[in-house]
This record gives sequence, C-alpha cells and structure tokens, in this order.
Amino acid sequence: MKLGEKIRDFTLSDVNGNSISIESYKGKKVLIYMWATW
Amino acid sequence: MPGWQKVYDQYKDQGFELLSVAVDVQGEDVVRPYAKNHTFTTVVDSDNLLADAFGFKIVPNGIFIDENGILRLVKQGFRVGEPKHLEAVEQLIKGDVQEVTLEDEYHVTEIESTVETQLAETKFKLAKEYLKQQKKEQALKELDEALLLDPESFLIRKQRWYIRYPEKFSPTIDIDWQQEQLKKEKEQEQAICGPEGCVIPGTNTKPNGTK
Repeated sequence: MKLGEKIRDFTLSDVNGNSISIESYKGKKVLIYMWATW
Repeated sequence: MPGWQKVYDQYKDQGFELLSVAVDVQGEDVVRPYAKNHTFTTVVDSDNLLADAFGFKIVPNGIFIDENGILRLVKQGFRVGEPKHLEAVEQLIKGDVQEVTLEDEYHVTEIESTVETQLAETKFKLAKEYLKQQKKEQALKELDEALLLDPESFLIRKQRWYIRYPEKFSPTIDIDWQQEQLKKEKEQEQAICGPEGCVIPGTNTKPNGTK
C-alpha cells in the first residue's frame, strides 16, 4: 500500500473483545499508532 | 502513552481520531492494563496483520489516513517524542499538507512477500494458537523457526523474548540485555544460516528448504 492509495480495510478486537473496523472511521482523519508492551 | 493522549485531547474536536494498535501475540489480557487510562480506542493485533500488510519489521509505527481512508503518512519507527513526527501529524490534521513522507531508515517501501516471509507468518499464527492452548514450548518452537525465515523481523524476535524471558520486560524493559541477546542470537543465526539460506535445526532441510 502506497501513499495516495486507500488503506485496505481491516478489523481488530479492542481490549474488551469488541470488533473495530477501520472502515468505521470514515469521515475522520485517523492516526493509527502501532506499538507494543515489549 | 501520555504523549498521544495529549495530542488526542487537543485535536479530537477537529475531526481527528486516534486508533491505538497494540501488537501482541499473547492477546488482550496482556494489553488491557496498558490501555485503561486512554480515552481513545485500543485494539489488539495478535496476528501481525498490520505489520505484514505494510512490511513493518519493528514497532512503533505510524499510519495516517484522511477522511476517505487514503494513506497520507506511513512511518516505521514513529514516535510522539520526535518533533518531526508530531509536526507531520499536526500538519495533516490541520490540512496544511496533503501527505507527508518521512525518511525511513529501515528502507521498507515495497512489501516483498516471499515464500519465506509467508511461511514465517503462518508459523507465527500457529504459535498464537499454541499459546491459546497453553502450549508455550510448542509456540516458542514455531516462533524460533519463524524467525529463521524472517530474521529481520523484530516483531517476531522480540515477542519471542517476551514469552521466553518475561522477567526482562518487567518492571522495565532491559535494553542492555536485549542488545546482548541480539548479538548472541545473530552469531548463532550466522552459524545456522550460510550464504544460501537457513537450515532449520532438528530437520533434514538444507538451506532454502530443500531436502
């Protein structure tokens, strides 16, 4: 995926088991911040 | 992540959202304590979905998309403490720029999905299933083999450490130990992996997986 292309949709679970899809953020500017506890 | 909470609070009324993605093969129980003080959403990526899609070999990373889901920033090694990184996010939120390219010292712009990296991904997912079944040693075996197939991946290398040596990550992360461990492992990998590829210990495979 390159800049200028649409992000592929993905769905992940939050810490309470709810499904969250990136599509649901349409209409907002989003920073997706990937991190780790390790 | 107090830094990002501040940024979120500052801009959330301007059409900005922050999606925090915690990478952990061990799943939500491990992540939950770290997420509870944030008002933005934290999800768990236990399959390395995002890392595999973008070719990331480390964390943390930043991806910025606009209101139409178009990628406007992709940065491996992205931190709120880096003035240039924070500035890029603020410029994108305010609409000062349409997209930002930050130098990537890890040089991953194209994802080279080879047979080796695909096999590494499969072994990683198998490790996750073993962990769910409390089969830690079998999970570690899969992670060890996944690493030989994708030795540049610190997502595999470090998560393996986290499971095998949890005491080195709590109460703080022992960076000196990590550097020593990395040096040791690289030396062992050189011994197993010659110029033609890697041999998986305990099998009859020759380099490049031929028998």
